[in-house]
Amino acid sequence: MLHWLLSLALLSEGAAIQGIVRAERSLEPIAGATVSLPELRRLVIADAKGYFVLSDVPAGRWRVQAAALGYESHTITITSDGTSAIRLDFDLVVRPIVIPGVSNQPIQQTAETTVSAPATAGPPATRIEGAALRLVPGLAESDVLRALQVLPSIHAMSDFSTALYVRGGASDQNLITLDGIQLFNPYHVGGIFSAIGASAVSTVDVWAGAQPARTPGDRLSSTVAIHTRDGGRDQVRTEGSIGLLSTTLGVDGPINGGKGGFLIAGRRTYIDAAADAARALGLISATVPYGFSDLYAKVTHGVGVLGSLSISGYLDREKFDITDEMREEFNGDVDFHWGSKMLSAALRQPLSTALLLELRAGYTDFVGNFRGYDIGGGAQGDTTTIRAHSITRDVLASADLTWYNRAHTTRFGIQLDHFRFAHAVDAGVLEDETMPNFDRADRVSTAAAYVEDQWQLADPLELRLGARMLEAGRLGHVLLPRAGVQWRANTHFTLSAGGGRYAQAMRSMRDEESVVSSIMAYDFLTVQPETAGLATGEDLVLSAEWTAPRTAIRIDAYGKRMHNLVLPAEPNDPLDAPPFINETYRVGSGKALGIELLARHHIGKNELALSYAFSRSERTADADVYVPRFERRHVLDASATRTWGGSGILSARAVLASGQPYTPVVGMTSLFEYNATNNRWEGETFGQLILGEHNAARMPGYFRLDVAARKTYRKHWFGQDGTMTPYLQILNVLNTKNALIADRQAYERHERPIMRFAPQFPLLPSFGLEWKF
Amino acid sequence: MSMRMVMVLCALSSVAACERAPTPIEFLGDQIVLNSVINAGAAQAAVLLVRVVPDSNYRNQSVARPLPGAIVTLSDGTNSSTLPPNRTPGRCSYPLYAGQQDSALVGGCYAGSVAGGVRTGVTYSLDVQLPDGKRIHGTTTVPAPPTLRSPASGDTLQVAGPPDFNPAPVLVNWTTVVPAPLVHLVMFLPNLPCEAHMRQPQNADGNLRIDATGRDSVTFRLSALDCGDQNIERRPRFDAQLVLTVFDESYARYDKEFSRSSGVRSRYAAIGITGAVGVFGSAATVRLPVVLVRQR
Repeated sequence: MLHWLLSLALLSEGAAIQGIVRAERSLEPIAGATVSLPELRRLVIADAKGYFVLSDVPAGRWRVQAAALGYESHTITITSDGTSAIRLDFDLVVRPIVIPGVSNQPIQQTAETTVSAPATAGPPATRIEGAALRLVPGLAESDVLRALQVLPSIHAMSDFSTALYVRGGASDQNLITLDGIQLFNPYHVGGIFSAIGASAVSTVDVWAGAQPARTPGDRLSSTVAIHTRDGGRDQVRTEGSIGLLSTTLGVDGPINGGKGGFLIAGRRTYIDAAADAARALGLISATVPYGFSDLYAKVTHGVGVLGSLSISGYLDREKFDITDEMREEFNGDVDFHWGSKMLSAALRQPLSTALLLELRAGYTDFVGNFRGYDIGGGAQGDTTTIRAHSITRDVLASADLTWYNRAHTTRFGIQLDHFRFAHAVDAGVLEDETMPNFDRADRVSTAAAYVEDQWQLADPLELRLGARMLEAGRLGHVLLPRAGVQWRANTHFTLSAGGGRYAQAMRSMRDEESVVSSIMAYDFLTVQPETAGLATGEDLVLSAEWTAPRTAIRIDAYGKRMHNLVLPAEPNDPLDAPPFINETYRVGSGKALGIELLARHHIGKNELALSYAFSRSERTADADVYVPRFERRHVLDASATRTWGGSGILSARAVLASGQPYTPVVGMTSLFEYNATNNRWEGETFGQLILGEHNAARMPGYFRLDVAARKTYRKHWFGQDGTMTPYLQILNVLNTKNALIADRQAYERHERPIMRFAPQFPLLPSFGLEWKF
Repeated sequence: MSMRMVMVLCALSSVAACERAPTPIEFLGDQIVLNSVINAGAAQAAVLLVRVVPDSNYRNQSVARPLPGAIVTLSDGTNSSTLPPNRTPGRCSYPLYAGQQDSALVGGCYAGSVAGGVRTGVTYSLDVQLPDGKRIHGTTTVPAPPTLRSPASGDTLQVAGPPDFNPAPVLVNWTTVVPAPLVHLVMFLPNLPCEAHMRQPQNADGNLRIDATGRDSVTFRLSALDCGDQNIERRPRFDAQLVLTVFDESYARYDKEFSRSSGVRSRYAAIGITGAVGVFGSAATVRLPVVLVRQR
């Protein structure tokens, strides 16, 4: 196959222009840059590494123009003899921009204000630039996953969770990748913060539907691909931040005389130290013996002609270590630590002007251990009373081959994964219905292969056809066709449609209907039960996008079905439902449909963004048809940023949304049990609540207003130019009491039962300082 | 602004957002609960009628109060029987736990003779007229009793005495006319406050009642005889009854809902009746006299 492709590639190798689009000075690749031949009305888009190929260039003198958001466009005139390959790299000059990554001045060829990553035929992924992530008010600091919640496709279960719920899919249906390798549970503090440092991120692409066959991994709902920077190749730069909860430090620079680059970004919290200080000041009564840290490191080096080798690693560690005072108070001890890690090695090598080979190998895991002890357990000393562990592990290798031809870009690939999952809870005598003991270990090996062709049928019309085959051992195999079409009506307006079939070999043991899911984002992944087989799904997405120099509007409509979902055994009170779905479950289905609007508009010093999502989600298990607890029927998210002086930015974000569903109380009864031996009813005279239909009622609506301010000061310290950026952000500035869960079992001396709603985030101010040299 | 002031503001703001104001729950009508199971072959039938109200003495609780003054009629389509109020303690209900008053609900007990007795295969209608004029209506078709094939009447069964004694297994075998949606097996000691624990191979602890739904035989060992404070050390033999009961669909559904720990679902709150929550069902019971011998 490879030999055939190489032969074909050599035959098709006419005059081609290939190269890399990079940022001037730092020489970091610019993902998604456009490279065009205006006279020939040809345009290609650079990939995540800035690599591009313009095939089949006829003899003559031609202008080649490169352009990218936030950079000055650059034009070079070349002479082609019609047969030879031409190497052409662009180093684009960074243009001062009002709002990084979101808007700037018009340039030729590309619409300047976009909402999409223009890299495929069909409904495109939504791209968020790394710099833009920092403008979304976060909890204490910039947060990659929390910032994604501004997109209409993505909902959150609560303020406390950064887990993503995409177009009616559960959080375990999303694939989050870092450098192409899946991350398991990239969260801190159970999900309040994402565990990915924003400073290392270059772009985030969100495929919320109509995923191409080439997207790595197999999940039903979405792929969130986080791309990191390579590091500057001209000089060493440092950046960091000091916030209320943690401090970050990043260093990047050249290696081997600029033939490569490195990037290191780390973060360490001082929640424990801050809590100790607050306690010493008498502000709080208890300390918080908790800490987390994360570290990302990457080395990239040039290989051969236009090739590169990247090795990156990620480490996230968290620990809960109780104090002596707590040990005494609870007469017990706890050993609790958890975290994830990832290692990736990726080689990119153009084999010719028409063929690009990408090889990747990786390891990723999430491991947690909990031990609870009773202190002084008699002659035996300390006694373990509760044990729990969780292991999720994947070893993978993949190969992708891209063939660039005049009107076709054809991709082939294969990915092999070996997953291991082991989860156990042993609460001993403390076992109860809410937390039953279990101990399970599962393994599954999957192999996925795909072929996909992107075909430019005519200048404005592009077609993508592909298929993916997933083989998952005893769960079986499935063919997953994917397709997309895009029609550029003019330079401003694009229509696209796409869809496909998806499959998933794993599921989370965490019950989305349990109250635990409102405050904990961690997925405890395990293999789909054999009785259910592979979970599968189909979607269809229609998309329209209108872009102009100052305005971009994108509207998506989607429909989605899911099958073989593992759902909780029976509808239950979220407050009582066990957090884990182990052996007792129902195999059901799901569907979702919705309309989403994402718009951006630039007026003077102001950037306005508006997103709206209407969604209807449903799960069906046996006769039980219900709306999943994470669904918000309507979500309106409006944000505005305004330049402040020459270098400051003020921003505000308001979210207005429907309440989430809960199961209402409709009455009371007293339960008696019939005793046939004496023909009497036995029981208690006190009663039970009668619950309405599963998730048939809605909690009160949601409203939150966040504000933030940041101002950058240029400094020249230690012989280096740099910036200092203090920031202030306030979440829920109006202190709106949004409902987290419904507690319907409280009478509390009222004449009749009442409904209580536990609160979400209160007003949460935070501030900090970012610096860059 | 000092750091201390900032931290004070942070702390104050973080506690400022308390819960939303509670919302009263709107119920669907009066909370009248009717419970009745009529038993094949019985000469009498009973209905327990209560009203559930919030308990003013305890937080988070409701309480059942008897509902007197109703007119209860049971009909087989040809004959009708009125079930009068019956103030005999324990006639309709019995508290599960000690300390509750036996007579708490007697005011809601309606019991009396059924013309011709409760007959297998007959569909009975229950009509209740409440004091305020509202009506409750229910129907049930009485199942046929099972036929016990083993053990034989009067058989002697071993009960564990010393902890290391493993009594001989008991095989209970039966047939039913049609598969029953719920089958219960109980070892009943009519004259003593004792409970016999039946241990099946898959259950180490033993149960007071075996759910034998979907089966036609059960094997168990009598693992313990629990008579509370009563000293039974010197007593070698006990008269007992092996009670096998099949239930109709209505009570089977009610039993399933009863076993849930997290509230009753509205769609299953009224089974076999309209106008109230609860259940109107039927059962057929076969009782086999046996003798329990305690190993010493």
